[in-house]
Amino acid sequence: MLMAIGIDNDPTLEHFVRAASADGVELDFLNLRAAVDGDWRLPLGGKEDATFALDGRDFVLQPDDAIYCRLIDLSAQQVDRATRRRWRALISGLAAWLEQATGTVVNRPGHAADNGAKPLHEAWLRNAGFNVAPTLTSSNGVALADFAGSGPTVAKSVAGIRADTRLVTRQSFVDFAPASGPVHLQRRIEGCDVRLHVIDDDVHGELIESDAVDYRTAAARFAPFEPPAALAALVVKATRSAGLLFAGWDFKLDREGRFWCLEANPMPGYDGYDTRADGAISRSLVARLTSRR
Amino acid sequence: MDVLVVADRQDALAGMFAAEVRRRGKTPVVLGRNDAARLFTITGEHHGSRVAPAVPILLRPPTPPRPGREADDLFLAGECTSTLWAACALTTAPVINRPTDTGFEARWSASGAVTEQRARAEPAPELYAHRRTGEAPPDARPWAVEDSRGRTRRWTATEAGNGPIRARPTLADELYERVVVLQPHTWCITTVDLANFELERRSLDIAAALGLAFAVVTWGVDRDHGSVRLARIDPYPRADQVLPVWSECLPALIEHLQC
Repeated sequence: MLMAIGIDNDPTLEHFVRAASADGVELDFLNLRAAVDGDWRLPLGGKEDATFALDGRDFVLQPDDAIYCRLIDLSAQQVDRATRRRWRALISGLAAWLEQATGTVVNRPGHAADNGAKPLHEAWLRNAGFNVAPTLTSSNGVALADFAGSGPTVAKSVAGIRADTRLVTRQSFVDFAPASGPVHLQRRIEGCDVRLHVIDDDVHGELIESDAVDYRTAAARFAPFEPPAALAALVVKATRSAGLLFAGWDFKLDREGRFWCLEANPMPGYDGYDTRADGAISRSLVARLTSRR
Repeated sequence: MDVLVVADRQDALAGMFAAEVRRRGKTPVVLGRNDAARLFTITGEHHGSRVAPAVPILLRPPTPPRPGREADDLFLAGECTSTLWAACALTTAPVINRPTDTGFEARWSASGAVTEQRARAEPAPELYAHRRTGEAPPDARPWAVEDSRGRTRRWTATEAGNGPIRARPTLADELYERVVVLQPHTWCITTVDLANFELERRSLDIAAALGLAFAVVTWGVDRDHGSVRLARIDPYPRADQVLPVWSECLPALIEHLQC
């Protein structure tokens, strides 16, 4: 039995459940939006089952279960204090239980947290052998204006949320108030986008052409993409060294044919790419989860 | 600025530390997380990262979040925490405790069982639970239970069921020994002879495995001193925890931070 854990209105999780079920895989789904209003018991340190009672049914997670999880904490969206606390407790307890579970967990919590601190993540990418375009993180308006004035520049979120990338110039930082910072800038690499999904040794690639700074915000053209062997080997090795079984890697491919790494996402929203790949990513994911390696 | 103390205004240990630095003729700057984050500029280039200013940093626990904050406030607070995390992890200056790619508190986790596993210590059971009709202790052992507001007490009867809990077994009528760790030093808080348990060495090893230079490791000890258990690990030692050894700990803290 394969387990999926997450929230029922997460399109990526919905997609996974649909794809796995269509492949005839026996799967159960723990909906955290229902679980948070039910009972739960998450024992750690003794390889015991986790149990949930929700919507009139009992749900059991065994430590050696194969689990695909997307733990999304909705506590910040809750108005009611008691509900907020239940969300925090449920997510904390589940993350701890999943970190100790002995089965295959995609992805086991406790790894690749640096993705939430982009300058640290980019330092890790450089150390792992990837080309990363120069970056600047600052609340200093002069430093930000100088960086943006020295070449094409994009701004991103430091923490990786509200992550639409936008073009900025020196003018963007005139009268910049430090209290509106910090801002994370990166030298813009012009070219195509490449998305690689890594599941163990499997690499699924897609090439994206778009006139927009952030292809997710505009019309784009997509094509299957076979990465060079050296790049495929590097993403496989780096995914493993980060303690991940599944990662979504973003690159820019410049006109000289160089790959520039933007990030490795430890909880990739892969549904759109998978639909265009005719379910190949889901099949790799399900195969890995059910392989009992 | 000779040292940056990232702390809430109410943080007693931060205040005591800053006062001593000032007494020694140096300049400490005490700021909350958002203002501290805005001090730093992090440059990432092909050959590595640079953090300016390269100032020693004492990181203290964050100010408790104010309820009812607007989405923009929450977003900016997240951006500041991420920047501070990266700056403190990447700076060449000394930092207590230096964050890592595992987390802001290095390898420490809010779960005791996970922290023990990461510290390669013997993991004890831990229970996260929520039951509308109330939750009873799992077995006949004495348990300590923490409610969702962080209040801890003995778990003697079925909990009322008005909120989630986190619980851990304890020793019957246990006493406590605290070991203050400031790598490579350790200080026991009591003078009770527990040498056969090697609590100082074990505490040092635990803190090192978690990537914590400064920590308080609390051990539960049974009444006849026949057994001990790892009770908790604090990555942000409080003033009341270190006060008995402050006269030795403070100079070591200043030396560690080279300020």
